[in-house]
Amino acid sequence: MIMEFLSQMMANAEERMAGEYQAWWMYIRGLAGALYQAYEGSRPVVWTSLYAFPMELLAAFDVISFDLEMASNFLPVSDPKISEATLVAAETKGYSRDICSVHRMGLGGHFQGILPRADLILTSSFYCNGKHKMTEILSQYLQKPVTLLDVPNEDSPEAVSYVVRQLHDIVKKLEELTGSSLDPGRLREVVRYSNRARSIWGEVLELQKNRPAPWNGFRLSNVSILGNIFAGTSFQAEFYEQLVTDLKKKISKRNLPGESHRILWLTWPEGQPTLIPGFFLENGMTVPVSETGSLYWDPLDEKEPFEGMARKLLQNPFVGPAEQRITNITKLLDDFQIGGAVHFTQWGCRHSNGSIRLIGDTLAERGLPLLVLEGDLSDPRNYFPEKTRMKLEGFLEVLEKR
Amino acid sequence: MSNHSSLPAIGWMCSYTPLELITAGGLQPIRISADGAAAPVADGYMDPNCCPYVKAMIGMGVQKNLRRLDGLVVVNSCDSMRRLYDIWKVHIPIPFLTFLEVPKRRDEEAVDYFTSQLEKLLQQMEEHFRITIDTESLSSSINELNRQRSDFLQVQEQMNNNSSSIKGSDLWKLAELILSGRKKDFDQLCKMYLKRPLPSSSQTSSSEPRLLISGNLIDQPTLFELIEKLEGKVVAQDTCTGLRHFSGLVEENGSNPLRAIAARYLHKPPCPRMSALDERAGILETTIDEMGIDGVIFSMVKFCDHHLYTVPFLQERLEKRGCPALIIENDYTWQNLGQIKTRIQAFIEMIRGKMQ
Repeated sequence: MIMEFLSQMMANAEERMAGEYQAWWMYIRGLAGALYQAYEGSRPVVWTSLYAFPMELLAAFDVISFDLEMASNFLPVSDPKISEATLVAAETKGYSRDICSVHRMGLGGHFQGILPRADLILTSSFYCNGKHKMTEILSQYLQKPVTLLDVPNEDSPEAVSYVVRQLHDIVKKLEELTGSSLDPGRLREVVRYSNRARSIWGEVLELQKNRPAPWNGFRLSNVSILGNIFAGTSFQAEFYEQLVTDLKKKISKRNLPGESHRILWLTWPEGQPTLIPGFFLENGMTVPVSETGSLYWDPLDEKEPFEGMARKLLQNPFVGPAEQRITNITKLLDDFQIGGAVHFTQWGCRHSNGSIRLIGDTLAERGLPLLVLEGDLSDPRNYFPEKTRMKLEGFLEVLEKR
Repeated sequence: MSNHSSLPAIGWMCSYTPLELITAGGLQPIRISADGAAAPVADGYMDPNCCPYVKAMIGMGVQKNLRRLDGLVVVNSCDSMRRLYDIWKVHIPIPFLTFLEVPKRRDEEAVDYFTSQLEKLLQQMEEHFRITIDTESLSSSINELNRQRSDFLQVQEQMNNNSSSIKGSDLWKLAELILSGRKKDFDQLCKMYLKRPLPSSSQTSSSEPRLLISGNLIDQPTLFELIEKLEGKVVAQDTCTGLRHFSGLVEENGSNPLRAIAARYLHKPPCPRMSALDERAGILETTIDEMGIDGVIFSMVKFCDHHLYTVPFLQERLEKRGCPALIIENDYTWQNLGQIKTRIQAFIEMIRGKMQ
């Protein structure tokens, strides 16, 4: 059933690729295809956290990457009833509703038997504590060892060295799994793809500085998280190139929706369908950029790819003290001429929600309003449309009065 | 919270804080606690779904109830603790504040990295307090803390005997003495407990269900006193300030005391923050077997992800081995004690039924 659903999704995306949003449908086609491959399982399947792992390393091997957080949300989210059933499957096993719904979905997905096989399980210590724990629990249920990539909360030579040593250990595991040694030539190629994609993403962000912003920032946010599954592949660069072409076309046609307020979207892309994007569109609120979409890392050094990957992880705004996150936010406020920010607060996302006070202080110093918008990526029981609309209306009023 | 010595006081919150470094510098480590008091003022600083203990600490800091502290060492225990450090840095003045990264892995690479973190901490303290922490002072500090841990574990062993008069609440109070820096009182009480002759095995009785409390922190003796009233016997406390704090000694007289300290903290019985779930489950199973535990009560301060995520798995695993387990949550103030009482009462009765 899942593979059928993914096939339909791929076919639908292919049909729509001829339209105005070619790059977006290329991306959806790519995501559905990657998931399909994991279920097909024709090559070793590696479970990992694609948004918090140096995916370049996996791209250098013949493996299929699978992110159970993405999959568990991607599939059932189309129907709130399925989503709720998956959550309940975890809750009836004792997993509290106080833990992040994304992880309850992952656990529920296992209990419902909707996850593909895992040949190797990798996880990382950031962004949050919960992801590591969820993966560890699943590894116990599956009786497969889990390897943790422990990324410290400080960017220092010692931290780089600690991460690099772990990356070498992970290479050994991948070599054992695939039966082939890491090919330095292939790794060089992967690094080149990654750097090329990085550079084109920079072009995308430059185009988003246009007023009005040419692209829906909710989609940008989605790509900045889930799109990391393509890091180090030629597809990522091709898709970004198409995105640049699409955005340039949109700007030159001059038929973009009106833009009264430029909003910075903080934290995660909204998962389940909500009224939020529609409200933004109706009221001239654009999201030129999201917090997760920033270009925060330096290009990888071909000669020292492991050090480069380690630095990229340590430079992530969500690793380290809140200062690192706030520095990134401040830069986005300036670069994109932002008029206000929305912090989407996922219930149970303690690491991000714990910084709200400090982020609010930073915005207040600049005279910018911050809306703390409670929501839930996956749990339909924690999404209240009327409350959301009321909060957005209040925020809009504040923006209008400025 | 008060400092019972004349030495500069360094606050700490997590059992991964390397106390040896603090005492080697002639400083007094004091575990900070709000004794279970709520701190509504902290709601303005932290999200409602963050750890109530962390919020209580922020509340104490904001309300200037921690002015006696000369410094605070914050450890990367969890997401809420990371944010506590960030907020403290901006909103709560303190002469010395530092953040210590603790690996989640436990291999040699992790020990190397943690050693480098300890070197940094040592240097920071030397510079700030204008002190010298040398190998000799570190070794002496290691020996002293090892002695305290051994004494505590001996009392624990004695308590494990069924006819021992030492109760779970007594052991909690003993731990509290040393955690709050009252070393003399701790030593005296240990001596008193250890002087009592151990009853022979024939003297033991088995009328009270023997319970293991497993969880995060318990900053009041309320839970233990409640269980004692219900005629249960807490024989072990697998908590942040119980066995997980005291178990495991630092290797003495080694050539690299900092590395020895790093190894001890990473290799001690793991908190669920570590990447060691299977080992943690194994340790609980061994404790249950060796101490003749009849039931486990998982006790958690709310919103503690490390425990919230892992406890259902552990409960399932223990129950498969025939050891019943109960999960209770508290908001750090234990205001829900009435509700908890009913559940614990039913749990103890169920165990008693099994024992008959």
